[in-house]
Amino acid sequence: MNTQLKDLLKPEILNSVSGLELVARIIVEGFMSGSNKSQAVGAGQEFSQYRSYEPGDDLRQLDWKMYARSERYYIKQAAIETNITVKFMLDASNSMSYAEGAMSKLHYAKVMIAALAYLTRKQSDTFGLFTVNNKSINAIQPRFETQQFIRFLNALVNVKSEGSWSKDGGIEQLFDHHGKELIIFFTDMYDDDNDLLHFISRLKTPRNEVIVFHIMGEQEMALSYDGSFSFEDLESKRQVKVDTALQQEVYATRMKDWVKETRMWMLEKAITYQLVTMSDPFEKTLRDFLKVRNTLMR
Amino acid sequence: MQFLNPIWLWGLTGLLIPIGIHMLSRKEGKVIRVGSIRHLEETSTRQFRNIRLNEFVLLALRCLLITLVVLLLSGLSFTNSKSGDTNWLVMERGMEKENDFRALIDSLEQKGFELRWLAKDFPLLKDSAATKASMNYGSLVESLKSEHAKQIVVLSYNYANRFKGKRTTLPDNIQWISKSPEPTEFTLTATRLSADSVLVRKGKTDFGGTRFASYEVRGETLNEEEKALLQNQDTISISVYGDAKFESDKEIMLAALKAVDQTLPCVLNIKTSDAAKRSDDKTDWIVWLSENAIPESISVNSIVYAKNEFANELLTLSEKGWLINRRLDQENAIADNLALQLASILLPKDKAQQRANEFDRRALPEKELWSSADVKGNDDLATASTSNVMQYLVALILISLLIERIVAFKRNQ
Repeated sequence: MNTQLKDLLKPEILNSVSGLELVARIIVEGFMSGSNKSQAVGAGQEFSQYRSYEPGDDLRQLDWKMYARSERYYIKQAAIETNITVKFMLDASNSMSYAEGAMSKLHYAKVMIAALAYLTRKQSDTFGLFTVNNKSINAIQPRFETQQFIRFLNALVNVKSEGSWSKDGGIEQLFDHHGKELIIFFTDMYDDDNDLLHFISRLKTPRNEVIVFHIMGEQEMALSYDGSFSFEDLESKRQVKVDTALQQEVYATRMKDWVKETRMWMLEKAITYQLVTMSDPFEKTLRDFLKVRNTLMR
Repeated sequence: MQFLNPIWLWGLTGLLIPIGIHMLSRKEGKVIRVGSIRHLEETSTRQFRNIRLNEFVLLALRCLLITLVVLLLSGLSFTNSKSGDTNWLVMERGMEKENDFRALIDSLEQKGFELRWLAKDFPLLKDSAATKASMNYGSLVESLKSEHAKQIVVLSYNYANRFKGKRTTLPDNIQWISKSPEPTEFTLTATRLSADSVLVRKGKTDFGGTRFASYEVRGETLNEEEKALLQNQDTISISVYGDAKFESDKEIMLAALKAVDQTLPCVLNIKTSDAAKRSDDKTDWIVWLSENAIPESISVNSIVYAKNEFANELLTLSEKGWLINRRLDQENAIADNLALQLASILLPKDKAQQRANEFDRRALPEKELWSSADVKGNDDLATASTSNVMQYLVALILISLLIERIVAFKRNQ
């Protein structure tokens, strides 16, 4: 994360559509400089290469002009334009407003979503946004339109972290998936009675890919506070008094176990799980995303 | 308890500072909001209670410190007149019989006043008979001050011979009611002059003064008091030795002795001889008028000529006896009252003096009794007690500061 970008990661910038777009563009352009073309070849608009005809190939793909020139049968290949649907899902419960420094988990998630959406738009994928908490479920259905990105960013800016994860109705619409799609879920995994895990497991179908970005804070992982404090649960408002010096070790191992358990659970369900701490550079997240997207295209 | 600079008591508002800090620090920065507390455990509350208690002790100590400093600055002082809850009626011996005070004593007794004697340790009236030991009024007042009675009424005759030393002040809680003693007549001595004639010396004393007069009465008319005092004349033998050079001195001395003999009810056996021809007869007194020193062997009372130009008095008392400082002549014998001095030297008068003191009724007028409050001596007393309190305060401040530092250090660990 370069310093120039760091200066932009302020709530007042991230809370405006243009600001969020700017940050997203800086992240993606910085990452994509040098670019990447599609590796796959096949039938499409953009020419890629010729290859010799082999029995069994579709005769419609024969390039007759090439045959006229060279009296050989060639098949014209083009880069395949793969269009997939990317669904961003954001856990907008109040626990996401946990902040370290000026950056809250929600802000971090917003920046990542904006950057990834920018990237997907560049790759002419369709993308949609679903934010969930128990007060409201916002849905920007995936569409391939020019205005989609602005609409998407606007919805993203207006997301507020409040309440808890939705427990009852409304959540069903999110499972309406068909065809190839990539679901990217941003959460802090603080669930109640495994409802998050249940939700994630229902997202996964044989045809789609699910990436779960688990956002954590660095202090949150290690309990690196100094002294005795009262800790308040953002969602339940319950308080515990903790002498951090005494609990640090236990807490850290417990955290690690929890992450490991979650990772194993995701692995069993063939869900990509990525633990992201808020101090991680955004590029790492982008790379993870692209890796998964490539697997989806085969 | 009083304050020399009460304005400093406003400093007590400074107590708001530690209390405010305590309140603020309790609320601020202690709660951390986290996504979930599922991985946290409540740390045993004992430790937290310790911490909270520690905070509380610290707060209390800091408040105490500020209070002490404020008290120090405001000049806390304790006067000795700590008011207790008892009322005393202290009366001098004889007062209980005074008709003038009968009503006052009765009414005060009904109001719950304790009746006590004006004597050492103030014994209760009903517990003990009146003690005779007379005591200085000044020291009695001082000890009354330290008794912490709420109100003290003193009935006193203000005998002049009981006011000794520096005048003290009368504290506010003591009310001093005085009465002039009744004039009294008493017999000082009664001396048998002959078979049926007695010389009686009578004294008449009242608040103004004491006067003595002598009467010669017939033996049968004596009253009981006089009979009890009746005694024979003292017989005193005196040997007067003189050189030839001291002939005139000797004559004057003899004349003075004769005057004493004739005036006072006593018999003087006077023998005279030359100093060189001294006999070892037994005498009560020796008068030695010579340039030569008196022989060492003489151990009786003596009046010896010893030239001393610097003495003011004609007769002075030394370790060995009385000394005549100058040559005697008619002038200085009259001017210095030689006869009177000889009489007071020769005649024992302790008993009579004691009796005279006993009946002494001289009294001081009321406005001369006590010094006014702003006399320096009183200030000394006040500052003494004040500085005492200051010392304690400073010591307390230092101690609490030390404890506060220790507790604070422990908390930070």
